[in-house]
Amino acid sequence: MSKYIIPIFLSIVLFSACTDVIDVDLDEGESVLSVDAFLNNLPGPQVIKLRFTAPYFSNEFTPEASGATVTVDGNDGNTYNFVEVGQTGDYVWSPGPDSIFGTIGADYTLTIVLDGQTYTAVSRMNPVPPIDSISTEFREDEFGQPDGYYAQFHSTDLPGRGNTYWIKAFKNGMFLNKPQEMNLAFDATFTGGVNTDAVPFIQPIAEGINRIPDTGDDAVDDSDLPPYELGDSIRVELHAITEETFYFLEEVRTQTTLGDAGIFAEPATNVPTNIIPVDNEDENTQGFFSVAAVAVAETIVEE
Amino acid sequence: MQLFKYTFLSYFWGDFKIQSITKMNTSRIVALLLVVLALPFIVQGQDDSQKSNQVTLSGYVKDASNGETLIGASVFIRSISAGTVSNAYGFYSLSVPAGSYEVEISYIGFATQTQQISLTENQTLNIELGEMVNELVEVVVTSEAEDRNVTTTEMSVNKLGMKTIEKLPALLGEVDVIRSIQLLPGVNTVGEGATGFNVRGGSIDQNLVLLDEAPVYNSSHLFGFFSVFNPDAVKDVKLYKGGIPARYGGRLSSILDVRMKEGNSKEFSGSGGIGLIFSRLALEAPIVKDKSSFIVAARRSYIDVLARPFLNANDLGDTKLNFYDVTLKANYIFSDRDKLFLSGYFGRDNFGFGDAAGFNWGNQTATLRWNHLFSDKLFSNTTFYYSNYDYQINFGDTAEDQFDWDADIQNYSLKMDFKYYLNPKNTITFGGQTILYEFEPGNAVGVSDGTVTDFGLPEKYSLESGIFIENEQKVTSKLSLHYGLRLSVFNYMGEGNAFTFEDNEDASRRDLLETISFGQWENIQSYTGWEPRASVKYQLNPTSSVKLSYNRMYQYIHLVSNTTAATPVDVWTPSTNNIQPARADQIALGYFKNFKDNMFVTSIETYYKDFNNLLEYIEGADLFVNELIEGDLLSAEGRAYGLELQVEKKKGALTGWASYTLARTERKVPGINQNDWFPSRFDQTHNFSLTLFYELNKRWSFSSNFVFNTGTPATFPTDRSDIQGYVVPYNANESRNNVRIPAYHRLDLSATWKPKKKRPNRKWKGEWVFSIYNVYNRRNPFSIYFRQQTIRPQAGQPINTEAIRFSVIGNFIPSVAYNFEF
Repeated sequence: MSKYIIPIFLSIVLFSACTDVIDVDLDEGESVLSVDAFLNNLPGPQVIKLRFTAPYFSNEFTPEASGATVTVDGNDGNTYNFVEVGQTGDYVWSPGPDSIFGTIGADYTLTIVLDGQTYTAVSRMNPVPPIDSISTEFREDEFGQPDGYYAQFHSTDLPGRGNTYWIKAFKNGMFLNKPQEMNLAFDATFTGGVNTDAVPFIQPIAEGINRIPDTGDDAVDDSDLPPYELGDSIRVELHAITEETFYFLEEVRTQTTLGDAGIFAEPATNVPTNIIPVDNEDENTQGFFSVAAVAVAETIVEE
Repeated sequence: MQLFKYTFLSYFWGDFKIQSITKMNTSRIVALLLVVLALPFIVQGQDDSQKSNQVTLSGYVKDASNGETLIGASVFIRSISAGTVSNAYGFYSLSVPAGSYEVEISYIGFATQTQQISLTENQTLNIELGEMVNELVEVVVTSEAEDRNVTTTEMSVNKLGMKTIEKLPALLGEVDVIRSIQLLPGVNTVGEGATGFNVRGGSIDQNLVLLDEAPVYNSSHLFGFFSVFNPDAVKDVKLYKGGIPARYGGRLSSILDVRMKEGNSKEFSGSGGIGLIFSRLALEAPIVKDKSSFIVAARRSYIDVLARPFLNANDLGDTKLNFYDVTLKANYIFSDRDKLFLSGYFGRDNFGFGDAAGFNWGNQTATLRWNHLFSDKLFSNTTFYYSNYDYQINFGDTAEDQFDWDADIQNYSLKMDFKYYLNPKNTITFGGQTILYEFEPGNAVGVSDGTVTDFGLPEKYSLESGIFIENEQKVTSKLSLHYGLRLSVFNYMGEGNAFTFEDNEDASRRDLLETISFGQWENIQSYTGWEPRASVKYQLNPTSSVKLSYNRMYQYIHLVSNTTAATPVDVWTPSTNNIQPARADQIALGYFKNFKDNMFVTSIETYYKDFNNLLEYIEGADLFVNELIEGDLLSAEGRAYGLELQVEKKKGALTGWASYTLARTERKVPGINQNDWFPSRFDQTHNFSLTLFYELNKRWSFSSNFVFNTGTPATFPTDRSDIQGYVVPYNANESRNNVRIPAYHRLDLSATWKPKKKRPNRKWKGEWVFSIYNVYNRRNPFSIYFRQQTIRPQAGQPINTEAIRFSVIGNFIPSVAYNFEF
């Protein structure tokens, strides 16, 4: 948690700190299967991306894992076959008219057969509370944040402990996709370690749907995505992810933003994975399989 | 008072359900306690039955100019080679056969005094030493007697006088205790700006930092740039890295004993300074001349004031950034037998963005001490202290939407120790201590749309007690021993819930098995530890000796921190039913040699240290406001070994020291680094520093400081994986701390100019200090990290990645400060 708080304060302290892009030689590692399978019950096709890990500095799309058989079985009796689009490594299931993926409360098993090796993963589609509203207010420039409209969403955690959420925000249809902007909640707060239940999302999370500008002396001009303006559309998706997915995403955020914490960085470690290699226990994998029910709210910024 | 009462009760009584490391029953502990606490009365009784021809010379050694007691002054009778040194309160006691003697009293930096004394009966001799007239003979590392390095059993100990610390080139001209001790062999830091220090492979929470005997839980201002000790109020700093005497306990790796000045008991005086970061002012004066005095010292930073014009440009006008501290101490001398001291510290760091967000933290300590002389030979000190560290964070500026939290660690302690000067060959120290801890790991209140959510964590309570006895024994003129034993007992108590967790083999989060409630003061878990300590000195010849020491230490409270530098929001946790007390065993061997009439003082030490039950964390541990935090903790092993060399030049116009450490610090954690040993984050193979002081003349003096150390280890990825549009780093080899960042080196210079006094009798003395930190402008990396480019990723475009070198100090930093005394 301190990882969200400290950088803000640190940024004003490290008056003399600086960062430089440098060349570094990295060790070589064995390429492993990486699964990007985040499915939800929003209308439209569902995509599972199979890739292989690639050298960190390769700076291109990671190579596709093509030719696999990909199915998702639900204990609600449904089976979804994901079909590869060409040889892209993208496996797609498209719903029929008026149909969506998944049933709330059902458990799903992902099965991948690639080059004779089988991989599985499980997840559950948890229920999601509605988003009551999105409110906006105009703020004068302060704390390095320019003038603009700042938004928060209003919703209340579902009863019962251990409800976890990924809140995705879209500005004029554009997903706020920086690692720093990843907004996660556990029972409407930051962490599962406290006894909260069925409370409104706490303020820092409710406000976590605003774009985050770059900070630090290497900040680039962020004018491509200023704060919300009059007439902008704001879309908020509340994904009811599993607890396992919550911890996965939290670690993704930590490991992709280590530098933001400056001297307070956590150790660099591998993020967890729930992709189990069935045939060869010793094989390493990366990636995650997640299913989520989603609540959506949209608004237009008005005066 | 309730707490206090309980502390005592449980000390003697307590329903210990000891499931201990060493099995020992309650009645034996109680019996032992009683014996130890009865010792003063027993030994006092024995006084009268002493051989009649032995008499005792005792008293206090003080600075003639201001009445400050001198710690470690030497009292020596050359004709019979009998001597002693004054203790932490300036008291000495020496028993010798009746007769006429010439007594030499000396302290470095002060003129040696010789007194002719005819001893026929026990006699009190209070001595006031005057400062040496020749200012050029300034001392670098003050040690008590010039050859103390060689002649005492003490090893792995460094003492820094404030005069030395004040002369070191300092970051932004701010004299700093913690930064100064990092120049000593065996002491390092994970990087610039990190709080605390690491001693011989120990993490920062393994240092017991004492300010007038009260522990300080966070020794830093401004995250880690400056330490909380006001140089104007500090008298003496002593660091024990090994051979730790039995009177100290509770931390694995070191004791940093900071003693405050008592205040000028002769006349009103003051000192202070104006620097770029702080302004300081200290005032001291007698309350009753020669009987009672006080000192009050305060500092405040004014970065915020200076920075405001610049911050406005960045719309950071409401930014709050300041820190301050107040240190005070008063004493009263009732008689030669009774002295009372009261000291306190209060400090605070404040950060904030207007009303929208705020963050503040600080320590408070208060110490009440009573020195009592039972007899000329039996000195006692009783201390009661209170110490607290807390922080508060708040967000949101409306009553409808806000978020506040705070956390603290508070403790109360009573400590008694006795020093019995049995005879010139044996000095026995014994006593006991008990500490009551209250941990408040987090009180959080969130308000969203007017709905208040309270998600605080319950407090935790524990009691740490210890009794000890130690003897300093001169066996022959060549062989001296210092041995002791400490027994420590720890109770983790209610009121609160204790948790049990499922066992896990893969070092992932352990699931809760059972929650058990305990009532107030009910014992949840107890631990007992025996801590033997010993050191031996063998004098090879008058200028050289070899020493060997061993110590076992137990640590019952732990700082929960998995970041590179500890943050101010890291909380302390007691040992519980899930967290075992940490243990360290250290053995050290040293050779000590002085040259040219103690002009050069040298030492070589090697050590091996073995750590058990160190706190480690699962990957992705949730350490913040987590009631089930114990499920995210792992128990690690550690080992550290090294070689330390130090050469000091103590006399002449050019003084200084060079220190070099060759060391290795490793950890072994189940589930991390494929269960293999890996270097700790602060491991540095080579660590060299050269510190020089040069007195050109009475006006000008110079100092320089060069440091070099091997880069600390870091974990670099090998591969990337693209998940949900994020580039996730992946280390296919699953190694921890597999790469070293580039070496760190830096040169600092400073020059001090003392202007000629306009009127010779004027009390006011001023000096200007000009310094440059990081002279050759090196961007020393604190860390190297990896990230996707900060430009917002665009759909359909691959995301580029980059490696970033992060330097805390990216430039050379010149500064000027003005210091004064009056």
